[in-house]
Amino acid sequence: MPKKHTLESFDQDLARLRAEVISLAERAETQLENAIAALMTDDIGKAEEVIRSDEEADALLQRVNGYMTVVLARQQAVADDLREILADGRIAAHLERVADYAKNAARRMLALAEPVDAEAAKRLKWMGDRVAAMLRQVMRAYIERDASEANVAWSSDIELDRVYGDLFAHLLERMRTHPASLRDATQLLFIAKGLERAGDHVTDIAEEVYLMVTGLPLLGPRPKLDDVAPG
Amino acid sequence: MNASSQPTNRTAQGVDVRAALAQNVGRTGASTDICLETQHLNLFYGSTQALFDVSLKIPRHRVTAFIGPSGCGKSTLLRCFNRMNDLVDNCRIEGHVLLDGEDIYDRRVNVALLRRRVGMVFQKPNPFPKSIYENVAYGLRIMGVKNSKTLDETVERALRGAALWDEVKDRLDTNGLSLSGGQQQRLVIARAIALEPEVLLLDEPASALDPIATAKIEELLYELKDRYTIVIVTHNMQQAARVSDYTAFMHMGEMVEFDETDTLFTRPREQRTSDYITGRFG
Repeated sequence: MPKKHTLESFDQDLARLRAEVISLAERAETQLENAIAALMTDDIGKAEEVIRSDEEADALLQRVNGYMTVVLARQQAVADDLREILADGRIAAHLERVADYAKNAARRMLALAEPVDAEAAKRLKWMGDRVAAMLRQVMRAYIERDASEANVAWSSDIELDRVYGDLFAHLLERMRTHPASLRDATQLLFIAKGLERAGDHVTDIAEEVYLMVTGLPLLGPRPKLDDVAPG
Repeated sequence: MNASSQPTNRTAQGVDVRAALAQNVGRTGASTDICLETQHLNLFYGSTQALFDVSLKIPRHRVTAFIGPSGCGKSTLLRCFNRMNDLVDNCRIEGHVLLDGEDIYDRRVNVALLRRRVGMVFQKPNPFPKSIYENVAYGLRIMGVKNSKTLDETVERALRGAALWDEVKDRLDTNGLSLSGGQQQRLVIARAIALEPEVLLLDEPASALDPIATAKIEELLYELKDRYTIVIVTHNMQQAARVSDYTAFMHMGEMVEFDETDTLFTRPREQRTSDYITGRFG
């Protein structure tokens, strides 16, 4: 961790901002896990709880933005301090979007006529767990100021894309062979796409962490399977 | 990864300056060349060494700021550029200081002429106890200029250049000491630029001024850099970040890092620079 500032209040300001970002990450991860759990167990009550709890993620984002403004006004930050404050704001926006995708998954789950079929459930669970694991990894990189860890998280999105592609194909096939499932399969496609997009936001956070730590952008093509399914 | 371990092939002295200039990088975006240069400069006060192997290239028509903690040698280095250190007993230098490629410590150099080419403004405004007009005309009179039209034109041009004309044009006979601190500092700058120097050295020019007067001086520097090469020593890092195109960070007599100001304040290469500018020093 960086050395302490001569001005202790600056350290306190940065620590508080960091704590708000971490709280938002924990909220986003919980929302994601609860949405997937609701989907797997067909638990309407849990899905409704995810939808209600989204307000907390929104409020946390507002707190990060408000506090970021205060810190910028109070402290004349430069170099890694400035990069961190700016990164905090951008990371928080990505985290709020991850929480949004969890809420959308819960909403779509409530619209399902039938429980999710086993094949789709397996892949959706895998995708949800994967995004949550990537989120934990990237936030560990954020907390530890570990650019290498951020780089690993950044590169690990490809598996998520692959499973999304498999699930996409499975749902298309199900629509073709079971026309009655068209409505539910469409909802599941949107949930799957949301999880895939949540993964993209996590990789964006990895880029922010890398820039924050090193001052350099994370360059080069990120491993991506864009051809597995329409974007 | 910390700031000091970022990928870079640049070193703290010399090479980085060339790299910065090769990229043609000042805030103005215009091409530039070198006005002042030190080569392996060492300076001693008696047996105490104050500057250690400082190699630096200062671009023409840019503002270069020297920052660093008290006693780091930034004012000492500034005073090398017009040989003010000659006035200090037991001061001795090794290495070279070049102005337009010529060594100003060559014994053939006329120091009085050098100081006309390299003007200096100090921390505390020091107008002479004379009228505003005479303060600005003083240098010209010393040079033997007697033509009143020439003097009038030069005084007006210098006061306009120092952004003071509008405030004093109706009271040029007033004693310069009656002006406010900020006005006095601009009067001193007018006195310096009346002699059409190539370089303006400013040693903490705004540290005794209030924020508004400071802003006027900073704005003035921005305007003056089109015509002069400006080197400013400041304790105020935010001032350096605001006004300068290039910044040099000094510590214990060493030039730790020199780069574009935009780079130095966002992505310093050296850990010592990062610790200092972020307030983690010591």
